Amino acid sequence: MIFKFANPNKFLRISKFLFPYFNVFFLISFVYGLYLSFFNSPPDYLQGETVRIMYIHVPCAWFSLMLYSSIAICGFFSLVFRHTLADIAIRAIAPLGACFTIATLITGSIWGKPTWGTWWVWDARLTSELVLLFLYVGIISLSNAFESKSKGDKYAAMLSLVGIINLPIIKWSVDWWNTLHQPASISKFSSPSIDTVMLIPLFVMTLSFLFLSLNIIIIRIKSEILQRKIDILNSSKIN
Amino acid sequence: MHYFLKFLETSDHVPYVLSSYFVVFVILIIISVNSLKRLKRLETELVNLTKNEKKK
Amino acid sequence: MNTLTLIKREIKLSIRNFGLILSYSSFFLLSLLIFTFGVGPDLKQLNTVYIPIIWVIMLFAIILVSDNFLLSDFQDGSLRELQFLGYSEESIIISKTVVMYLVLITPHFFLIPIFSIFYNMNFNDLFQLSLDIFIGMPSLILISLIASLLTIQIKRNKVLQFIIIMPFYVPIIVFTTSNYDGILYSSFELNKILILIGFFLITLPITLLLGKLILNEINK
Repeated sequence: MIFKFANPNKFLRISKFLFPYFNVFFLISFVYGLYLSFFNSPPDYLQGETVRIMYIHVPCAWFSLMLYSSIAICGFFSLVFRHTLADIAIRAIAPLGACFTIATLITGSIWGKPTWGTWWVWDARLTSELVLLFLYVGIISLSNAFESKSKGDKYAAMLSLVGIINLPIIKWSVDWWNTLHQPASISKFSSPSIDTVMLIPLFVMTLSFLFLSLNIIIIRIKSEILQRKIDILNSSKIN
Repeated sequence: MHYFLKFLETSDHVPYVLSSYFVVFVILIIISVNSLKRLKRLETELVNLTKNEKKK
Repeated sequence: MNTLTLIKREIKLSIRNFGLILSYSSFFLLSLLIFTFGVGPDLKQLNTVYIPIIWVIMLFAIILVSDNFLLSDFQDGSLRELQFLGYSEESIIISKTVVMYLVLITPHFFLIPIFSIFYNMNFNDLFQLSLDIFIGMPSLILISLIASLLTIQIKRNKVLQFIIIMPFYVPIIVFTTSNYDGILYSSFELNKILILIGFFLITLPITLLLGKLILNEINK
């Protein structure tokens, strides 16, 4: 099933078909999500109006993690089944994931200023997000460091797999570090269950981000495939 | 609408919220424009290459 | 048997290359000195920061030194030759790790007493520090091996090596530096050591597997 669709040409055809739909879905859900988050959701009783940052911060954080795990899945496929599409997907997804991680960090610190009083707290979540950013940077720079693309692909796949094994350990150790070193006075979020009035805009925003990131991934994969075609043509010309 | 007017009234939080949305938009726009530009450049390059091949 | 002969070869090489140990320890001492100048001469203040400083410097020192074990072997072609001779990739990596550990742990026999004089440690702290170094170092070495294997074919690879290592170093540095007045809860010390051993046991199979993949990739 997977292998049937893991052919670059087939992928190009399917993505050409899906691309406009994704665009339309993205636009609709994005506008609706913006409407919901600004016009149709109440302020929080504790954090006031700053809770509106959540509708954009939380989807970014989810996507930063989800894209990393999808990179690791692609790494597994590229190492075990040697699929070129998986190699290409790693290259396509990694910069997008890094962008989402940066967005999460920036919006998180903007949210932190009115609620915690400082731009940055060495909170467990923030710190592990920062470490995630370094993992992304490692993958991106390793995949671009080699002269031959296939080598960079292989090594980036390996690094992503090691990263996904280590990610829970890192998260856990950062949690530990936080409880060991930090006085409990700076409290983390006490996360009460969110009301559906706030949950709906969150989900709509997440949906719109999903379509946007799918679109960007499709574009990047397409350009990566084109790049490889051009490379092949150029090398055949030299020979 | 009621919520939005209320939101605009609480002036001390507005810049934080708006700037966070703005930052995310800028980042996403940068990456999407960047990817689109790269795709366009590569497409023209490929077309040129195939033209040259045909001429030969 | 294979691994033993490889270890013997590596030990012979590193004895011939004795300057490595000297440069490692002098790097260690000099950077400690620089940090001490930065923090200031107050012993109380120094006592709160010297352990993280020691661990961070150890990371840098290991990254710098790991070249002499892998990169030189890769560049003069002996890595390929060893594989060609039929040594398994796992045994190559295990021998590298063992010898790196032996070589890098020896300077600590005289470095740790020097720390204890510099930072006015009592015996208990000294014992804890040396135990942590003995137990935490193997996983550190394994991680640096992964990084230097991944970047072995890139020319200017030091920064990249550091970027790759940094996330994986987080758990180790958290647990080695955390809570040095943990003597209060006496079980904590034991737990910490068990956690460090656990890290080693996690990183060992990962390193062996990855090392095999990468060595095969390099010598294609």
